[in-house]
Amino acid sequence: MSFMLNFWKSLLASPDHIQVVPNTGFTVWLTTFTAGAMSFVAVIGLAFSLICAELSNRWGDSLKSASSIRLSAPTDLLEKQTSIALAILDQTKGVRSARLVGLQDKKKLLEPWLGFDFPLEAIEMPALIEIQETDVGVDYEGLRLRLSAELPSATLDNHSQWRQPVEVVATLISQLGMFTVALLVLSSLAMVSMAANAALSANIKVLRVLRLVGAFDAFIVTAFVRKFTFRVFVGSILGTFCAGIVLVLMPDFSENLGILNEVNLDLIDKIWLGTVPLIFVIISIFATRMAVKTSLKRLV
Amino acid sequence: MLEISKVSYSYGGNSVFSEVSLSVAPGSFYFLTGPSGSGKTTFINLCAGALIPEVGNISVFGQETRNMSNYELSQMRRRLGIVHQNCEFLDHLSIEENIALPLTVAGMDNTKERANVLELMKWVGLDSKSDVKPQELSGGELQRLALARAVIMSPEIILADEPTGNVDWEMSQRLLTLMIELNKMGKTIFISTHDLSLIRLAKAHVTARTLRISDLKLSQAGADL
Repeated sequence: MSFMLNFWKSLLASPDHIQVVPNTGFTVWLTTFTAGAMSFVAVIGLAFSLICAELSNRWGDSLKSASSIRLSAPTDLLEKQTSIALAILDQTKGVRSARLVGLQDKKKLLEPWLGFDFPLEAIEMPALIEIQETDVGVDYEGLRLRLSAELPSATLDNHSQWRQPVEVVATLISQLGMFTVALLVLSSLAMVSMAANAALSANIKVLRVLRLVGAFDAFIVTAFVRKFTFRVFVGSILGTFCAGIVLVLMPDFSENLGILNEVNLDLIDKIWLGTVPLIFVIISIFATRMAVKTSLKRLV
Repeated sequence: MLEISKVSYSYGGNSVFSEVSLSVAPGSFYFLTGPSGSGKTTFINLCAGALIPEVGNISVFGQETRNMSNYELSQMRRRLGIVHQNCEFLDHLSIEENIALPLTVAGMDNTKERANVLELMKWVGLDSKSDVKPQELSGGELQRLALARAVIMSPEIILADEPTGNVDWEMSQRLLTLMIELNKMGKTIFISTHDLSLIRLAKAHVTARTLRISDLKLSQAGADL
């Protein structure tokens, strides 16, 4: 415990520790580049995981709270039946709102199949009422029974045939995102460890000299940890910055894809992405510490 | 100060020493000689705590190296000055910084000790090369640099393994003179060498004992050297 306390203190103390580890050689670039590349991948991976999680939540939520009634009747009866259906819904518990889908909305819905200039008003179309539920939910069995008694032409669709598979897909995407992030952290740990080991192999003479002149293990560990962690931090900041630019420059498809509307990283997500260099610093401290201690054990 | 008691050591079953004993008094001057491969370097490494005897004990400053932790070994090395035949340095540091390295790792204020470092550089004749890097020095200069680094902490014992192995006779004499000066300051000197003329030269200036390693044993060499 006291060793750890001293270790953290010395990590923030005198610059003499840094001086004893050389600043040149391929290992400097190896460590910085590895940290940069892994941070880039981590930020992009994390960003996509967060977007996928938001998207899957949105799919789940929109299907969970929405249902519809379709009314098929001759044009002269359709308006009356729509009024009855809306009145029934107004009296039904758990219904937050009920809205008749207008001609323009129908055109927009059918545009991918019929084209934007199809004269939809020329053909007889069923009326469609969109229902939004409250958190309590709607008693669909009760509503179905009432509709069959009062409006036999009405068909209630609570999207149950969509809801379950979409919820499964949404959960899978979220889990995949989490798994990807965990995998990224582990692979970053492995990559930083390998870079630290390669750097130590190139600097084994430094370890021997420091041992010869009576340096304590804690001094040697701190010297290498400070130097490598600084390199990792610089690389990670650069990698995160580059990934941030890529995310900012990504084309915005949201206007053309209704379901992707306003799927963006919010402030909390951006804070998460900003922690990537910090996570790399923590990974570097532990990976380098472990690598130096192992090398020192081999020296005796 | 340095007690070696019935020490045996082997490499992969090939014995180097068998039950070797020695007691080194403070301020004494020792030469360790013997043919190549007889175990002179192993003996120095055992005394420096870099190797631990398989059998027997080595006690430095009253503490057995076998029982020392890494921390205690480092503390012991601060009281020992070690010079190897192929001494290693930190190539990215200047001569001055390399000499001051033991002070740096001991957490001492280098600015306060700078006068000592400069004095030491003058003593070993490297005062004009303070900003030069070790790789730019000749073999003899490197040995003097190693000696300066070894004595900056004012160690009580100086262990030198073939310090004149890579230098010419003139430089050997110069290094020996420095060692003799250190001995006169009260330091214990332990030099392994196969150069008998160096031992003869030293004996003309200082009371030095010569030990010979042969047939797995350590024996006092006669006056025939």
